[in-house]
Amino acid sequence: MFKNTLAIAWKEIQLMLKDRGSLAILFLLPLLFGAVYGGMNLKFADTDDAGILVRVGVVNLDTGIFGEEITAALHTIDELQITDYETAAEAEAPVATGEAAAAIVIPAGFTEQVNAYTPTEIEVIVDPAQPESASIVTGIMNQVVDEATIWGEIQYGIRAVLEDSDAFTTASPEQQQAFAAQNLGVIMTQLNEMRRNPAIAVVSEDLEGATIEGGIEIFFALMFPGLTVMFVFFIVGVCAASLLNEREAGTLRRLLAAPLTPSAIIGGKTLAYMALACAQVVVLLGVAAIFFNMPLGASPLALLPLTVILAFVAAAMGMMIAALSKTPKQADTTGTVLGFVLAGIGGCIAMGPTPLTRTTGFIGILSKLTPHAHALEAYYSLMGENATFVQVLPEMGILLAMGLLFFTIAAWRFRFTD
Amino acid sequence: MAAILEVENLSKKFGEFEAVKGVSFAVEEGEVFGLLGPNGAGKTTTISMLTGVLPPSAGAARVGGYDIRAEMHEAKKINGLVPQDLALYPTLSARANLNFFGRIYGLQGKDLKERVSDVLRIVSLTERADQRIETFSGGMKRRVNIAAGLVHQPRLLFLDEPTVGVDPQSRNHIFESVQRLNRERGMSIIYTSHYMEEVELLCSRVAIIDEGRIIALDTIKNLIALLGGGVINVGLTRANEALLAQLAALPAVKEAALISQPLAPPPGEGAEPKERPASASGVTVKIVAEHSQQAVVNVIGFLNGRDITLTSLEILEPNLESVFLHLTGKKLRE
Ligand SMILES: Nc1ncnc2c1ncn2[C@@H]1O[C@H](COP(=O)(O)OP(=O)(O)OP(=O)(O)O)[C@@H](O)[C@H]1O
Ligand SMILES: [Mg+2]
Repeated sequence: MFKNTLAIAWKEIQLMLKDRGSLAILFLLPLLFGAVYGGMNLKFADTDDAGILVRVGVVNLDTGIFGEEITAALHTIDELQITDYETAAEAEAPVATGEAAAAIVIPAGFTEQVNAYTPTEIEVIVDPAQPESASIVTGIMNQVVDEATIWGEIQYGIRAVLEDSDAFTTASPEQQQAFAAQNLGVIMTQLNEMRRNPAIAVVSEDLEGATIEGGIEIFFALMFPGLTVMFVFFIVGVCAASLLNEREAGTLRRLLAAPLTPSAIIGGKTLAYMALACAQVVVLLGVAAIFFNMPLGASPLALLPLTVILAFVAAAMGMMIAALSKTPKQADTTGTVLGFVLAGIGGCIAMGPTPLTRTTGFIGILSKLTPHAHALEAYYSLMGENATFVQVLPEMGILLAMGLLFFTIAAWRFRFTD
Repeated sequence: MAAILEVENLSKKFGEFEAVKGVSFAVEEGEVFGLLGPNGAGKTTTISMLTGVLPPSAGAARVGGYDIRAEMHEAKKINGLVPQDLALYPTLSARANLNFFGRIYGLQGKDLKERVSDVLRIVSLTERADQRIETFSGGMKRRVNIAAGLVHQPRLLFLDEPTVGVDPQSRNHIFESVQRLNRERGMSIIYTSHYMEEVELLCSRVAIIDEGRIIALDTIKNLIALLGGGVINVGLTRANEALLAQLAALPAVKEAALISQPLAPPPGEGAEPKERPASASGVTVKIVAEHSQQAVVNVIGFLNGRDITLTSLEILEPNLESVFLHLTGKKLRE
C-alpha cells in the first residue's frame, strides 16, 4: 500500500523534473525577485545620511513607465527638493541663475530605449559654482538610473521564464500579453511599494539604538518567507493540472485498472508535490540566509515541521482544485489566479514591518483566512522574533487543519472514473 | 478447461443512455477471445467494467473466480489492460514508464528489472528503451502501450483495439506477439477490434457486439456457417438488369449484383483499389450462393447456354464481415 504511494510519488517527481518551464517559475523567478528586492533594500539601507538639501529641476519628456518611475523616485529622495518643469529650457534657467544646483532631463523615448536595450542618457545640467551639490545630484542619479535598468532586466527575466512555460506558449497572443502584463503589474506594484516604503521605514521606526544592519536582516525574515510562501502556493496549479492530466492522457485508466486505492493515487501525488514545495523553501530561504544574512532564529529546527506542513497545505490545495476543475488548463489557471489573490490577501506582497495577521481590523481578519498569512506569521515569529517551536504551534495547527480540509474535499469530490 | 472470465448480464448506463445492455459470455483459460463490433458498440465500456475502470450498472462478472464487485482488488492482479487510447507518460522514457507500471503492481528490484527487459524484448524496443516516448513513431508508441499492460504478467490480457493507426509492419509484429504470448505463456486474451481480418486471424471464438448487445457468439467457423453458402465473383464482358435477375433465379443462388469495386483491401495496407472499367475488361457480378459448389455449376451452365463469355471466376469464402452484414444489415466499417 505505502509502496504504491511511493511508486506514484517517484513517477511524479520524474515528470516534474522534465517540466523545465514550471521549475523555472517555481525556483528561478522567486530567486530573481529575491535577489532584486533584497539587493535594493540593502542599498537603501546603506545610503541613509540625510541633511543637505539640494534644489533640482526635473523635466520628464518620456511618456513611458521608466521616466515616470525615475521622476517619482527622485521625489521620494529627502536630500532633493524637486521642481517639475515642462521643457528643458525652463529647467535650465534656474541653474543658470544659481537658484538650483542642477536640472535633470529625461529624454523622450527613454522607456522604449531601456526596453530595447539601446544605450540612452539622462542629461544632468549642473551649476559649476556648486560643485558639491552637483556631485551629489549625479551620484543620486546614477543610483536611480541603475534601478531603472533593473526594471528592464526584471521584465526581460519574466518574459524569458514565461516563454519557457507550456501554458504560456500555448496561449493566444492576447492571453500571453494579458498574462505577462498581469504578472508584471503585480510584481511592479510590489517592487514599487517596497521601494517607496523600503526597509528604511521599518528600520527607523523599530530601531532606536540598534544598527541598521540588524534591522534590514529582521526585515528579510519577513520579506523572504513572504516571497517563498507566495511561490510555494504556485505549485497549486501545477499539482492540480498533473492530477487532471492523468485523465486527459488516459493513464488514469491504467491506475484504476491496477490494484491501487484512490488514496494511494492522491497520496502519492501529494507526497511528490510536498517534496517539491520543501525544495523551494530550502532553496529560497537558504539563499536568503547565506547571501542576505537572513536570521534563522533561535529554534531553526522548528522550521522543518513548519515547512512540511506548509508543503502539505499547498499540495492538498492543488488536489482540491483538481477535484473541482474539469480540465488541466482550467485547474492551472485557477491555481495561478488563486496564487496571486491569496498571496495578496495573505500579506506576501504588502510590505509592512510585520506580518499582515497582526494588523487590526478587516484586513487582518481577512488575511487570517489564507494559509499564506499563517505560514508567514509562523516563519517571521521563528526567524525574526526568535519564537520557540511551542509559540508557533497554534499557527501550525491552523495550517494543518486547512490542509486536512482541502485534502478531504479533494478525496471526496475527485471523480475516480474516466 | 476452467473459465478465467465469466460475464453475466453486465450492463452500463451513462445517465439515460444504456451503452451496454446485458452482455453474457465466458472466456476459457488459454483462449484468445474476440470482441468484434462497430464504433460505439460498447466494447470499450465492457472492458472498462471488467477491469475496474468503470463500475457496472447491473450484472455480474468473475475474473479468475473473483467477483468484480466484491473482490475487484484481487481480480485486478489477474487482469492486464491495454487501453484503446495511448495511456503513457510522453515525457518519460519507455523504460521509466514500464518501471512505473510494474511498480504499481508491486514489482520491484531485480524482478522488476527482468520483467521490464522481457516486455521490451517482446515488443522489440530494447534499443529505444531509454528515449522519451514522445520521440517515438505511432507504431512504437502502440507497442509500448501494449508492453505496459504486460509488465506484471497478467493471466488475462484485455487488448482494446491495439492496432489502430499502426503501420503494417508494426501490426504484424503485434499479431505475432499476441500469438506468442498466448501459445508460449498460456496467457488468455480478450482482443477487441472492428477489423474482422484481425479477429479471424487471432481469435478462436468471437462475440459480435452491436449497440450494446452480443448478437452472435461462436467459433469463427460456426459463425461463417451461419451464412450457409458463399460468394462467387463472376467476370463477364457485359451484364444488364435482366441477366442479373435470371442469374439470381438460378437454383442454389440467393442473389446476384454488379460490383463496382473489389473487396476492400486489408486495413492500413493502403492498396489502391483496382479500377474495373466496364467498357474495357467487362463487369464483375457478385453472386451470393446458398451452396457455392452447386451455384458455380449452375451459373456456368446458364452462361454457356446463352453463349455469354466468362472472363473470370472467383469463389470467396464468406467472412465475418458478411456475417455482420447478414446479422445486422449494416457494414462493420463505414
Ligand atoms: N463516459 C461516457 N459517458 C457517456 N457515454 C459514453 C461514455 N463512454 C462511452 N459512452 C457511449 O457508450 C457507447 C459505447 O462506447 P464504447 O467506447 O464502449 O464503444 P466501442 O465499442 O469501444 O467503440 P470504438 O470501436 O469506437 O472504440 C457509445 O455510444 C459512447 O458514446
Ligand atoms: Mg472502444
